[in-house]
Amino acid sequence: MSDLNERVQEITVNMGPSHPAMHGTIRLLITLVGEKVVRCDTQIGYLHRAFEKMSEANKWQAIFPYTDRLNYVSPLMNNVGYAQAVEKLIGIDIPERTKYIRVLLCELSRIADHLTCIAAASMELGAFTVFLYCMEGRDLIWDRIEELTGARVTPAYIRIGGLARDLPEGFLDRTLSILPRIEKVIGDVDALLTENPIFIERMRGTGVISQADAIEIGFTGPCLRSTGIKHDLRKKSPYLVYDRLEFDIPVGSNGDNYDRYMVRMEEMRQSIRIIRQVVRDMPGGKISIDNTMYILPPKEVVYNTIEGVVNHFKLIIDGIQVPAGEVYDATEAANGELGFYLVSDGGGKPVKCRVRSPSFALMQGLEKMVVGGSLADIIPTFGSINMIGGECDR
Amino acid sequence: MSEVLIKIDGREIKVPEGINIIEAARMLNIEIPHFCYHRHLSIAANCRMCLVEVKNSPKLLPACQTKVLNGMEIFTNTERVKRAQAAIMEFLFINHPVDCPICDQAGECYLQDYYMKFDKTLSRFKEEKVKKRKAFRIGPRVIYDAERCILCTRCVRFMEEIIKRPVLGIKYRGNRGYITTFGDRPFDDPYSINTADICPVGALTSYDFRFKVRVWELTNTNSICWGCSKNCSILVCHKNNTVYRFLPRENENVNRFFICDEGRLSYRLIHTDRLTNALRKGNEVDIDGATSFINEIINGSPKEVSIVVSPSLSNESIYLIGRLAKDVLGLDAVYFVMTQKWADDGILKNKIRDFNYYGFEKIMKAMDIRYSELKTDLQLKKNVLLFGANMKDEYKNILAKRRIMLFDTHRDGFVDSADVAISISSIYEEEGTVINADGILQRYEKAIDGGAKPLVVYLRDMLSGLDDEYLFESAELIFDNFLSPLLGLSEITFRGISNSGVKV
Repeated sequence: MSDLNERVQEITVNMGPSHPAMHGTIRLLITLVGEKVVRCDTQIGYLHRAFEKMSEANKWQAIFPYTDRLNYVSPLMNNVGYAQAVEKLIGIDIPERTKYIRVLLCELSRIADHLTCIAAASMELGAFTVFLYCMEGRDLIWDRIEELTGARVTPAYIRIGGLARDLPEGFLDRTLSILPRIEKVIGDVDALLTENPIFIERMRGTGVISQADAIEIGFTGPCLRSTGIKHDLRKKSPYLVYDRLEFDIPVGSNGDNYDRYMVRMEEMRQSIRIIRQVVRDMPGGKISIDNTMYILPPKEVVYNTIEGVVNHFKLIIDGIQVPAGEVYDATEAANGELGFYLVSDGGGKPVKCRVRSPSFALMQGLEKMVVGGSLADIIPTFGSINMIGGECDR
Repeated sequence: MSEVLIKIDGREIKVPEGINIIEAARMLNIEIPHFCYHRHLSIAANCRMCLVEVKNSPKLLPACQTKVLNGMEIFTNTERVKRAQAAIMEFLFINHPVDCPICDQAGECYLQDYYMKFDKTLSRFKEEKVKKRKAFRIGPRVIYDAERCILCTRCVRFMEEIIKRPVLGIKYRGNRGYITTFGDRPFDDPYSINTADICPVGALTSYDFRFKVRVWELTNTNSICWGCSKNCSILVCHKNNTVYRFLPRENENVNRFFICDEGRLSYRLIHTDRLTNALRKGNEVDIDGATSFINEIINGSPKEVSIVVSPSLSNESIYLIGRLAKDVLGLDAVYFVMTQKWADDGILKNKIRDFNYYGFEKIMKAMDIRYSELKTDLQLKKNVLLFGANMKDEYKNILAKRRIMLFDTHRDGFVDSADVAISISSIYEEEGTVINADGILQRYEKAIDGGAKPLVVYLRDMLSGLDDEYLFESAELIFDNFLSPLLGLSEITFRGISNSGVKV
């Protein structure tokens, strides 16, 4: 038997960047004393694809496909965040219907993101059934998105000043019809996990972050709210039509993995609540602004008039001309505050397009959350942060 | 030149008396849109796009035709002016064909640019557009599309006032008018393509350039034309190390704003019949072997080497050739050869086609080296260093019995017959300076990568024994340290030479 007074050697193990239990390309250099974590050196950047530099080489409207690939689990939210920042810089007021549709898509994406997070985190703990149930829920959402945008995960559906196209006939009904099934999925996951002793044993009290630490490190989103701070941009600085909708912000109290799970579960229920209101209140009307200096003119005009063809031509070749200036605008994405800081020199390409990534801030807190815990706790902790490589590394 | 004080859009400025409002506004970086106005042509004032509001004038005035007066207050951005601009554009677009996808002017078209800045409205025209002659080969090098033409008459005025051969005019009137020559004669003037340059729309386009490349894909580099010793300022338009066209560059000292057709189309020579690497009697060899062969002869028997120069080389190359003659080979005279001359045309073309002949003369004189045309082989030594081989046949016979070591850009039968031939970069693949027939020194910039090294690199090698050879490293160093003082330009550095050149 080992003598507990014997000096136990520290050992550093490498986890990642490619690892079956890690979601995304992350490298952790974990220093262990026995099973206890004494240091966790977090190394990110393996998915850095120079989004900000690429933005400088592309026209304003051509950046949307790149935003799809930031948080690739809820891409429409990235589209919306970027479009909103550009619209703020130009000074565009988007039509009412556009606002409602954007909210609808953001909340659907939020549900998809949270389902993915819970699914992956639970699977790591051995709850494989939960993973499959959540995948079914997520797929129902992706079917709606595919119907609307043509793709499940690369929609590029939002435009500066509007949307790519209007909702198809019957889309809202079909969206409503998947909600009961998603509620059932959430209910089943709830029944399988929330009072499951194994789940509670693994998630209660693990991956704890204090309120003070969370604020200092820059946590936002479900991870911040799990510590008890009721901060959500949809309520704090409402955008789109969130100020007209009724919904609650779930808040935890312990800042542990279990609270993050509970916050996400409840957020999904609130998102469903929001979606039902949006469908009920959806106005008619146009989905893009009229000003063809920012929006492509309609196809009949482009094909048949010289003015239309000139307009379309110059927008594609020169890019929309965004007035010189700078702006920062942020939305409440699935992981927290997703901000875009844009600088324009008046031309067709951004001078700077900086992304304030929510999971980048969260990753800074990982070491604090795992040090003092055991090696096995790193898995659910990292899973509950929901770091998305595309968004963290850009 | 006396000045007047005027106000444009609330901003005061002192401008020379008698200039028109478009030029005055340009001094404040205010753009007044215009089609028919051109700085170097007479005023037509037929397009009406430049209408501006002037205090105390009940009607809008054409800014191109109105000369500034002391105390004048001009407004370029009022509601009246904006309505007029949108109205003019609407009228111009009524019969304009929906051609942007197939029109070469796209990307440098006044109609496109002004629509986005000064119009932005849709048309109220619901009828069918007038059909006219389309893609008409008005001349061997120019295509005319009457549907796109806005009848601004820039081309008519250019041929009449600048070239002084008024071969273009408007036939018929109103809706049915179009540009043509008398009796549809071919428009084959040696300056014809300039009308495609100054055409603000895609009505007149260059046949050579048609459908080759979109203009926004091209990079433009400042350079000079290698067609003759006028050294017209040009822009070299290139993409991926290929040159697609030459465009004239504005230079009041040399060519104002246009170039001759032959010089413009000489860009084709950049990519045809180029000498690559090195040859020994027409067989490909590696360059290092070829240069060592030459260096052996220069080092081994320097007294048995003559120099023959074809003056289509940069000033920097010519200077180093002079140093080679004086300091290494002990020569006090060099020979020169010339290409076939063409006629002085009283417009731009200079009869001497070797583009840096005048630079060659000036530098040889300043270095105190005698130079004479190669007429016989009596004084020629056994070995001949020939710089540039683009010359008349008579010289080739004179050189026939010598050992020829030549450096050139292009390859032909004579180059193949040389004992050694080494490829060098053309002026579009390097930077340097030249002097033209009017004594204007201009700097040209490197446009593309050609694969061959500049001649100055090989010359430096041959001069490696000299004390100051480290200053031969680049054209800039050669100019700053040697040419500038030699030509009496002590204040001017290589990088400081203005875009319009400097008189020497």
